[in-house]
Amino acid sequence: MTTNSHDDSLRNLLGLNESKISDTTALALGGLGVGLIGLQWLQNQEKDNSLNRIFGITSTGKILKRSRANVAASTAQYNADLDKISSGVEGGMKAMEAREKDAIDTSARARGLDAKISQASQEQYGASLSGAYATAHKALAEARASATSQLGGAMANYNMGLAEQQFKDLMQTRAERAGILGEIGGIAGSLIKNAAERESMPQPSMGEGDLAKTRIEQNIPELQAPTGIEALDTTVRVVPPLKAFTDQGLNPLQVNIPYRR
Amino acid sequence: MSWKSTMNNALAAINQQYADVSNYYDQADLEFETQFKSYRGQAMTDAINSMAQNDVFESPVSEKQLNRQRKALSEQYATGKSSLAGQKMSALGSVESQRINYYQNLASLQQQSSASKRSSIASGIGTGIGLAASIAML
Repeated sequence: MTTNSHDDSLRNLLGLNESKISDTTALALGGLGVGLIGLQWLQNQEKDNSLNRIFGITSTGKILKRSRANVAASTAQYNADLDKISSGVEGGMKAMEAREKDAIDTSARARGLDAKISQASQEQYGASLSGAYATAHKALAEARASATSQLGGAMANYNMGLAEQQFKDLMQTRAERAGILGEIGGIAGSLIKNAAERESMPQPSMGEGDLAKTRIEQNIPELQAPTGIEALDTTVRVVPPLKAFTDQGLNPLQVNIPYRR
Repeated sequence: MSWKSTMNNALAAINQQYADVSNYYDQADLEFETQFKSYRGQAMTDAINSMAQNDVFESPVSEKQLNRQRKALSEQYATGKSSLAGQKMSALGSVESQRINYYQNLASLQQQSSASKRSSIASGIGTGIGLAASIAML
């Protein structure tokens, strides 16, 4: 009884009976926890793009939206300019017609022609202008169609470019997500593996025979149960781990304690 | 110089080009009006002189002849004016296409910049998690 209790004390002093199960389980749970937190973060990331929000990064959606707004404003201005050009030609034509009619009247009066002749001449001239107006309208319509087609080509390229960007962004986001998932998985896996290895590692143990053999080999006298006044001392005494050796006159660094594998 | 200021300069250059093209054609239009007035005046004077030589200056027939001249001049005016307007539309369209290309490039660069920032932050976070995990495993 005395020997067993002292052997237990020796085991405790050497830390050989300490269980590792709680540590390894904690590591494994930690790994799983990291994985779950990572997954949760990725899900939130997809919903509100928190990484962009936290670090002040402009999201692709916002960039493309702003770009579309800029292009829409720019093309609206261009279309307004085309309208202005067309109306400028119309206005020029009308001003020219008015000037010519005035010139007809002035000229007729100067030549002493009847006012009716002047009026008839003006009407004739006005009617003959349909060809000129048609020419101007045709030219303007062709120019506008050509310009619009040119712009349509640019817009097609632009939209294609934006679609490509969106696609690239999607691919990159997926790759990043896969990378982060891989990292988290790797960390969780190594934590779990580490925990499992610790679990399966043979724990050093010391049997009764080993202790007795060591005592004999190292010439350690068997410990005796306290007697006399010491036996009545019920206060708990904390003995430093190495004191048991030094009290015996031994160097603790030279004590060789065998254990079973 | 950062890419942002380079892009801002590029947009300023495109806007300037658009304004320059517009001004150039406005000037050309004014020049056309001036030249046409001069040309018309000369053409009508020639026509009237011709009629005076033929003694038909004061007859209603002369008015028909003059109107034919006026009609031809008006058609020339319409052709010239609309041609200039068409050229202006086309030139502005080219610049506008450049501006659309610019916005496409800008969006692309902004997206690449954001992706790069996001990637480096994600990498930093990954490294931090890995480091923390390594320390926890010690």
